Amino acid sequence: MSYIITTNGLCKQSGKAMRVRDLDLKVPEGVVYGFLGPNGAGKSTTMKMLLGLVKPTAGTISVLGKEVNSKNRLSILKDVGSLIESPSYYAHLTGKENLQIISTLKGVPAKDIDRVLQVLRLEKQKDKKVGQYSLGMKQRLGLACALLGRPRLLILDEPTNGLDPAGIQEMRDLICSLPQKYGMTIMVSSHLLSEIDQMATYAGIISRGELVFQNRMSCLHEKSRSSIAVRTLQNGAAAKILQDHGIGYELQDQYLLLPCLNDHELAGQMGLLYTKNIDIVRIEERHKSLEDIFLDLTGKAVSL
Amino acid sequence: MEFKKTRRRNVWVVIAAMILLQCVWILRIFNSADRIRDGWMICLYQFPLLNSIIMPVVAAVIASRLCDVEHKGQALKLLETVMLPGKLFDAKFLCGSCFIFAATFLQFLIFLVTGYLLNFTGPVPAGRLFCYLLFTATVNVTILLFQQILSLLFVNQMVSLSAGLIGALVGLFIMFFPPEFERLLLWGYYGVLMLVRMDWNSTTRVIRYYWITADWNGYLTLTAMFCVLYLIGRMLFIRKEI
Amino acid sequence: MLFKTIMAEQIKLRHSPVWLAFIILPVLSAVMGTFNYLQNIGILQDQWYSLWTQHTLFLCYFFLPPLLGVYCSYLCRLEHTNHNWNAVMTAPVPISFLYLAKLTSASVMALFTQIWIGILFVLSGKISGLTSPVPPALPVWLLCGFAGEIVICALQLFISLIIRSFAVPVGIALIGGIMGLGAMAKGYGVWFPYSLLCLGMRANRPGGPMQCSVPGFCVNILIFLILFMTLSMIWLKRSDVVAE
Repeated sequence: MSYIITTNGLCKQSGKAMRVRDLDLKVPEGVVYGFLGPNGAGKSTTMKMLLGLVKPTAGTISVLGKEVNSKNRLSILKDVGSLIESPSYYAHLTGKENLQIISTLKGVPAKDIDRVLQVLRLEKQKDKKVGQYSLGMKQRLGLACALLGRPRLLILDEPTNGLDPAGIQEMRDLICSLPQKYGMTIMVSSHLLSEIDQMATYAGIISRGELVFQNRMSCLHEKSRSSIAVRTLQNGAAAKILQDHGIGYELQDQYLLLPCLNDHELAGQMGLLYTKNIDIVRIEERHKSLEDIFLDLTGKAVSL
Repeated sequence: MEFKKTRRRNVWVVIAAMILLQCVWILRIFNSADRIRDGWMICLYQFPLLNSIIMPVVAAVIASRLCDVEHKGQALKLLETVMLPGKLFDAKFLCGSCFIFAATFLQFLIFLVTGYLLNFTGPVPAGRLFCYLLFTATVNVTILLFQQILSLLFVNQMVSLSAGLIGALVGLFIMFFPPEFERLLLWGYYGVLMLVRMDWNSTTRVIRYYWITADWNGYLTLTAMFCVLYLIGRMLFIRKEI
Repeated sequence: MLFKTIMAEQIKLRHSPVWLAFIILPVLSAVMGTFNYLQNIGILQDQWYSLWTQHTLFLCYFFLPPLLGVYCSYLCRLEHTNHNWNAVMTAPVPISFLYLAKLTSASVMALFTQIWIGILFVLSGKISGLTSPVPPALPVWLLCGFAGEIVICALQLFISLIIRSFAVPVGIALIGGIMGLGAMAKGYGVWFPYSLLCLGMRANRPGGPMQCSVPGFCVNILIFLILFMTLSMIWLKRSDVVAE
């Protein structure tokens, strides 16, 4: 598997604080990589370092197989599209003119502008001044600028920020389709775990400047154990019966949490309780949510 | 509150530079004895001249800094939900005026100090100096008001700064025109309210300064202009849709 | 690629009221200067040359530096807002070209200003009824003034890159222009960037040669230009991009 971005011991110090510490990122090619982390964890700083906007204090970065330094800067940036912090635009110009500026700088033909306008459904607003765009439209314009020239790598900092649910869905579908359609690799950062869950196939979780997890999303899911929650009208008696049969349980909020049993075992246990005159009123399957996993990994609550 | 926004905002740098410049200017002028004789008059002649060039631009800079803060952070929307737009306008003006008064006063102090150090002959014309302070301060704040209105109404600060430059140029030139023109334009009032006139005799090449009485009519006109401008400007700002 | 960057700069300037001051200021200067000349025609007896001093004296010392400052501030202001530095610095363009494109843009406006001043001068002279031929050295004055203006633009761009406000660099330009007057009076005109404009335009004494040596003038223009360009490019390349 080839990696499109690798960093080695990346550090960034700002004042007295280490914003980013010994980061070893490995982003595989052709996937959607979700970059997660609480506020202030260092996501934007890392992305800026990847693009050469911020100079690292220590460590090396390699993007598209080339080291990030002033010599390779042009050849790397030619194949990278980005949307960092907020979408950048010139408010007094129309949407189309903004795209014209970027396309001129990137050396991209004019018909590409029409293509990205169509992909992001901005054709009707292309002649309106961007100062009058809504937040969602500005976000779409920012993504359009990033997509010009069919870059091999897209680095997006919270692309669904400010979009309504329909817009978020569209953006998500678009991002997911890009690797198959154009062979792009996409690195997305977000606060919304559910978004990353639905979009990304790989994830990296950063907390206080350090990488605490980097693997496939499926590994993250595996960390969540599921359990069966049962509520009865005679919880105390039911608990004793289960204990006698060697089933471990945990009492929580009037529910007995049992470890994950397969269907036959569960049916057997419930049947047993029934024969002992225990009234069963609820049987639920509980998953440890992604939020909880995240919390465990970062030791911090996720704020929106 | 307005002052908090201007922290770290370099306005004092510009004012300090202006004062420095005036010190240098003064020192250049007073390098001959007979000039010291006419010391006070020369000051009261040269300074309005200098002011008409510098002050409009300084006022434009100050007004622009104060209003730019809002436009850049798009804080106008936020502020207008917290306070009445009229009050915002007043607050900004007060803040700007403080800077202007400080600058005017410092300028005034400078030539008091110079007069003392270089021993200008004759008694200190206290009444006239006070008039000068009053006049200059009034013209300055009126121009500040004008600049503030422009800076608030147009998001693009280029407009207000260009207007400031044009005003300064006009004010300077108008001094060389017959006095009637000076009254028409706001920037001409540095000239209208000057207390000293110069008489340059081309044959003998002697410069003679003479006092003229303070032009209180001119001052009243200026004050009227100020009030009208304030009312109109405030109204326009309140009406302006964000 | 430099050409493309310059084209991109030009697109950025659409729908912008840049022409306002550039056209009006020289017109006002011309009108008032001519008026003044006509009022004092007894004293100002050098015809075209006197008219020239009336037109350009105030312009060069007091009003052109801030005008150029306004323009350069605006060019940089476009990038300082809306997080635009992020987009600009990730474009596949050499950083030096970004600066050069802005400098070119500013210089082109400066050139138009010079031409406009020249046209206004000739027109006013004709209207005032000057019968002697137009001074043949006029294009030379305009050209040398243009060279001085490029230096001011380079310096102002550098200041505007560092100071993120619109108005403060303009204030600095004004002060610089006035200090240029002082520098000229003391004879150090050649060594001060803001007074090179006045020297070139022969604002003080149009009839004779420049008030400094011609090679000295050219060399200093080049030195200042290279100095400010280098400073700006180092600043852009070395500093971390802070978009807001």
